[in-house]
Amino acid sequence: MSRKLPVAWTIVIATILICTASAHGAGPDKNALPGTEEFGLNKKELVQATEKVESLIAQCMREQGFEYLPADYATVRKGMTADKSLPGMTEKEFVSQYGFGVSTLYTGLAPQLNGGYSPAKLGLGDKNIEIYKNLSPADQVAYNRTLLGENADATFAVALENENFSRCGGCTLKAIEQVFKPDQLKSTYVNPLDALIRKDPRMKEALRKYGDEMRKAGFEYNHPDDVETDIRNRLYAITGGGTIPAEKLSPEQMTALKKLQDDERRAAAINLKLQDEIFDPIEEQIEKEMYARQVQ
Amino acid sequence: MSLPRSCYAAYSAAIALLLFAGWASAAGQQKDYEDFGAAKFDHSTAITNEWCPLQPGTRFTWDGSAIDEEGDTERHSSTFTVTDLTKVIAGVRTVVCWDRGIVDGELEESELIFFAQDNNGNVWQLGEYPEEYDDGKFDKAPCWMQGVGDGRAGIMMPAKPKPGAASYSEGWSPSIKFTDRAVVDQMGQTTKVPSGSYDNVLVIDEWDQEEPNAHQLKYYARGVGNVRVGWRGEGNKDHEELELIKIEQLSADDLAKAREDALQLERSAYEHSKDVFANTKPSEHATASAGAR
Repeated sequence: MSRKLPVAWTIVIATILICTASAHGAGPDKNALPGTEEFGLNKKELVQATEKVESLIAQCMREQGFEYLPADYATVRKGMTADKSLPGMTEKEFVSQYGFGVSTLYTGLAPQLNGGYSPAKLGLGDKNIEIYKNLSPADQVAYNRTLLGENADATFAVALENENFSRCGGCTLKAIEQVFKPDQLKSTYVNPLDALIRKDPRMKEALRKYGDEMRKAGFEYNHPDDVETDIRNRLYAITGGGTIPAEKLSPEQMTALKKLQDDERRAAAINLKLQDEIFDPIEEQIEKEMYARQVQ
Repeated sequence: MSLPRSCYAAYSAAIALLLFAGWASAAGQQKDYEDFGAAKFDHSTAITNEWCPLQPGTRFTWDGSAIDEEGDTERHSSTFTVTDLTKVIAGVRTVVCWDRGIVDGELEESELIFFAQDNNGNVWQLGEYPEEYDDGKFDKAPCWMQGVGDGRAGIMMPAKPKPGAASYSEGWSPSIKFTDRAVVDQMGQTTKVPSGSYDNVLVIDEWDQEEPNAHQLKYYARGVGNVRVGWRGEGNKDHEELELIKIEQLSADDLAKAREDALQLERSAYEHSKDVFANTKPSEHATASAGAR
């Protein structure tokens, strides 16, 4: 579920957190609520973690004999915010046309070679794309295996946005392991702020309602986050882990992909509608109460 | 003729400004707005200026980022569609363009802009209807139109832009704090954006009276139009940067859809801007109005 707070609430919460921090001194407060950015980090922590990971990726690549320039936070953020949208389209328009953009925009190409708009490509930054493109085809394969491991689409920006490092590999995973905690590396990881919200009875009731609505539409999903994960897993099952270029899929694989794309569009549209109608108002209310309690 | 109270205020302000502008001109100072009346528009909808060609059915898509009020980076993207609609404003037939601004996946602004080219090749902007949204709901629409209230047309692109030439007004309507001006900053630049690499790029520096030392830099490629947006100056807080991602010619179906969307926005404009936009004639489909001036 989205942890992006409305601007007004972000200001209120930031003000409260600053006041709280002042009251408790400069050191970390063990009772403090998690930050509102990815992995429960606050903005400063996220920037620092990003820069540290990028610097470690560059060091690891250098040790393996490859050139990689650490992407700055703005570049990584660009890749993250490019997720689930296309330039000139609102989120609603994108979802209606491409769902989550997982199977519908599948190419099977290395992120650096994606011709269209790609979060993974954007998160690597122009200079690293140039470096990759100047390599021979054989070196390109070796480069991406060293940088990303088995899953060439699992760049740091994409994994950070999805809060799921489980598909990362190569130097990217090595760097992440040195910066993030072991529990944050598990595929079962849940953002601490989401975990707190999920405990609330109103959220439990909302999730029951969500499951009912999804079943009415023919889907067996009990949590909004489950949908995209399931679509990704089904895509990897069809495409050999995302390694087969789209034009090289067999007719059977292509038929399965088209069915998956239809499911993705339909499930994503219902997901977004239910997110707006059911979850957003409740999440907002719970966060408001949570941070108000924090001040007391 | 009886005018609404707000119109009286606008007209009083306009008269005062006209007197001031006349005085400033006589004193040899910079004019607040351009002398629209002196321009001739015999083929106003043929916008062929090499730096800003506007061919109906062309759509530009830019993508980039800016800094929000909390210091966070937010994603900005924008589409600009040259529709096949025309609209007569102050006796000049203009080309109706439709611009959409999207911030972090939410539509923040949908705008109609009206352009015409004069006989010398200058591209004029004769009015704007920007509809702004907050959380998907209508917020406000600060509209201006040439000749209505204090609205005065401005130049969007000079026929022959030259470094060192005087600055010019891009339009004027102080009642809605629209005071944009521009000057040629550089020529012969090179820039690379996702839509291509461009040489001999023209850079136009834009600013307004509301934000001191805040400049927006617009990069124009010959035969293409605006390919990049940048910024300069300590007063510029949002640091917006955009790059041209795509330039496309719409299919007949997509153009018809864009026309319908623009007309829908115009219907909204008549509802929301009764003092300004409601004083204009409705847009017309270009094929239906062919030959008319």
